[in-house]
Amino acid sequence: MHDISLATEFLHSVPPFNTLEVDDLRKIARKLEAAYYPQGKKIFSSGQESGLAVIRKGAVRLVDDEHKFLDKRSEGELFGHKIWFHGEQRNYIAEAEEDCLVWHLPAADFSLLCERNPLLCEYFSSHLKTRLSAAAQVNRSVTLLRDLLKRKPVMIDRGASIREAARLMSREDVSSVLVMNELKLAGIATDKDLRHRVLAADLDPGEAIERVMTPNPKMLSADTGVDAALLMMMRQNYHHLPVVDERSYPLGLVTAGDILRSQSEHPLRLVRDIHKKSSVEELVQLSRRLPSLFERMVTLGRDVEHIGRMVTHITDAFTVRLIQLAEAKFGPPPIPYAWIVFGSQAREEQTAKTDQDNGMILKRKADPEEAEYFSRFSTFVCDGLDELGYVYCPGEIMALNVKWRVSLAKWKRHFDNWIDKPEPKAVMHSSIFFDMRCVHGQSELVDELLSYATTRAKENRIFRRFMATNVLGHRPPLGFFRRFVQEDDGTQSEGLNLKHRGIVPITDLVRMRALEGGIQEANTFSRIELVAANGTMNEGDANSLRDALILINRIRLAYQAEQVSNGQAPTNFVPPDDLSPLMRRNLKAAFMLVVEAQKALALRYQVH
Amino acid sequence: MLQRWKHGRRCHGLARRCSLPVLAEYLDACGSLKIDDIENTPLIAVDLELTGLDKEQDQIIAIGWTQIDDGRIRLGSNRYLVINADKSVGSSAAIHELMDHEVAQGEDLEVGLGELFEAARDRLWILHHAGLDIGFIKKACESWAGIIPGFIVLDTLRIEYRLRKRREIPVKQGDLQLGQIREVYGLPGYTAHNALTDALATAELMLAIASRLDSDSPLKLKPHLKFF
Repeated sequence: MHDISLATEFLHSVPPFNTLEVDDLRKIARKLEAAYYPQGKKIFSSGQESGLAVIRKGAVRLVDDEHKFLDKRSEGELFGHKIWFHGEQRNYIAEAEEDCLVWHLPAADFSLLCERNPLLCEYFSSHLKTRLSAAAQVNRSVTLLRDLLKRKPVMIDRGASIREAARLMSREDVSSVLVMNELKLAGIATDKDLRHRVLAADLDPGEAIERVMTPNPKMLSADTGVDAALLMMMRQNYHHLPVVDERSYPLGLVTAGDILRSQSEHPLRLVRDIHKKSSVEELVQLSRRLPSLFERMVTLGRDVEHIGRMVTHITDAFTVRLIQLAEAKFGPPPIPYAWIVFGSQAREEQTAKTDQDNGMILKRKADPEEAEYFSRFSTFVCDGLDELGYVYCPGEIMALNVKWRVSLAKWKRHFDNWIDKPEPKAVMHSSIFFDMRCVHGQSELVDELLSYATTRAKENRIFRRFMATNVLGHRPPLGFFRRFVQEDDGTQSEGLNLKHRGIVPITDLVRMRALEGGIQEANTFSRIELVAANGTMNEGDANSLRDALILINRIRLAYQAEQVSNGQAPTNFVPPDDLSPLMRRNLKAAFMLVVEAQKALALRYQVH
Repeated sequence: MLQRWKHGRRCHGLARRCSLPVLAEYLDACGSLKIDDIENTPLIAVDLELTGLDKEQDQIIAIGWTQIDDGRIRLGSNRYLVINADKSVGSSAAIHELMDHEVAQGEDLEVGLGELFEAARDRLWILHHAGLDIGFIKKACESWAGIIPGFIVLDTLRIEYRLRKRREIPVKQGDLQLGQIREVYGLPGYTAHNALTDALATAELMLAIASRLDSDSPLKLKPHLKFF
């Protein structure tokens, strides 16, 4: 045991310290001083000398100099720095509300810490909008490919002979060599290439290596996060990839194995296992690992965008495996088709609690016999998903339902109906179909349908106006906070549905803007990036919405992870008493940004 | 008062006879220690891990400590030392989770004692159930330095027992275990039986007890001292 690990372990759970490396945490931990305050005892008045304080146990109330209640802080929260109360920065007195153990970071060490770490400094700078952006950023410290590179890549000029390349590879004991055109990567040649393209093909080893290399290999920037890299490699089925700097100069090679080894237990192992199973029962067994995996991803502080993508990637893998099993059971499909998913799975934003929304696009209309095949096929897959815990969609938007298992032409007519004859209810129901993604089969069918639907929606302003009205139907619960902040002790017991009141307003709004911009991407983060890039939304607003989405989601995920670890079914509902004052402040700021974006939308479409 | 004076004289005497500078300096300081209230007296909380409870047969296998200055525990002073014992940890491993191979890689006891007495110079000792651990330290000093040094100790178990007696609170078996008392004072639950964790836990408990004794004037330490 390390001398200070007891302290670093705890600090590691306290934002913003959870973003620091262990070495930095240790340095801070060594400066800490623990003090005990019995209930009612004054701790200090905030000011130059108060430093920063972490509540290790107990609760602290912050009051003004007339002893009026300002805020309450509890275990794992901070005080002592400048704090804004209701939009106003003020001095305060901290006193023990319960017996408490407090860790003090002395003022001198605190200011040194802020000087050395701009991100922390910004976090403590207190203004809500800056804090929000800092809070959204801090958790994004992930391991990069750069951190995994062990040795310099073995490189050879493209003019060198195959023999020279083979000798170099033997000498360096590597199974692949990077072929260079001056300072640029021209290709990659592997053991396998030497076997297949040289020995088996009877090629003269005096020929240039250039002839047998794989030209223009896929490369990854050294600043790619390992999660993103692994996801990409697993999807494209690459085993090793060159890692390059900003000028595309190779820095090393990375293999999927290197990445998997760098992470103790990785969600993508589950994906690998899914592909090995050959019965629904076995898949059900595997799906039991999902809750704890989800909890781990959240507690490890993976960022929310990646958690959404990982969880969805696992759902996709289960779906694809079930489809493969169905094809094996019922024989090859009589008509080419695409299996499509909608809503959060399409957007790659799934969390712990999720149901299934899917459908099928058939290349042409099915005759009765073919229809029977797809009926049995889709029933097998949807039933399987339900058994795995992706329960049936309450609105019956499933391939199981014959209405959502139709030809491409019929799908287009569905969209025509929604777009040409918009009525509030139809528009509300149709919005889920604009988040669409192909998980298996003929993706061209999906591309064609999406491009058709987005073009039609973009052209039809009346439809978009209806959609705008629909978007404004979900308002963030700011009234909730006004009530809340009036409470002196925060005993309000009404709850908050973070999905419907927080996430949905943002995804709706972003979908709306994506349709305006003719963007076919479904993922909300990607949509935000794209609408900012093509000028549909200004960059500041785009960043604000992204930060808001990250924050609300982080709180939702953290709460769901806690429910999962307590053996409860995860919900989207957070009781306000469980929100720390910091979370409440951040949530409120996030909701205010959404409200501003909604106001702008209302103005543009003249709806209220 | 007389006890204090006698103890001081004994410490000074031992210091003159002691050939190990680190122990001699500790003893010298111990003989003329200034003892005030908790905010103005430097303290050191110590805990040992042992292979058993018999000081004739069993051995020290880990030492943990932390220092308190101005009424605050300085986490930077935390220290945890595994001591290499020649005897197998045996079934005691189930309690402290130290295995034979870890113990074998530990520091020599002499090195550990040297560091401990350097850290304890000018400080009052805090221990929970002091008699046991002090017994082991004395025994170890005897073979290390050929003398048995003196100690001035605040024993959190003894103080809490006396406080409960005075308030006529009945004390049952197990009530005075470190974790049990800490709970009463609203202190966090730690995994027990690591010497450093227990030393920290004892230090926190001492601060908690001191804060409760009298909310206006901090605890006067003198009536609670125990001289070894």
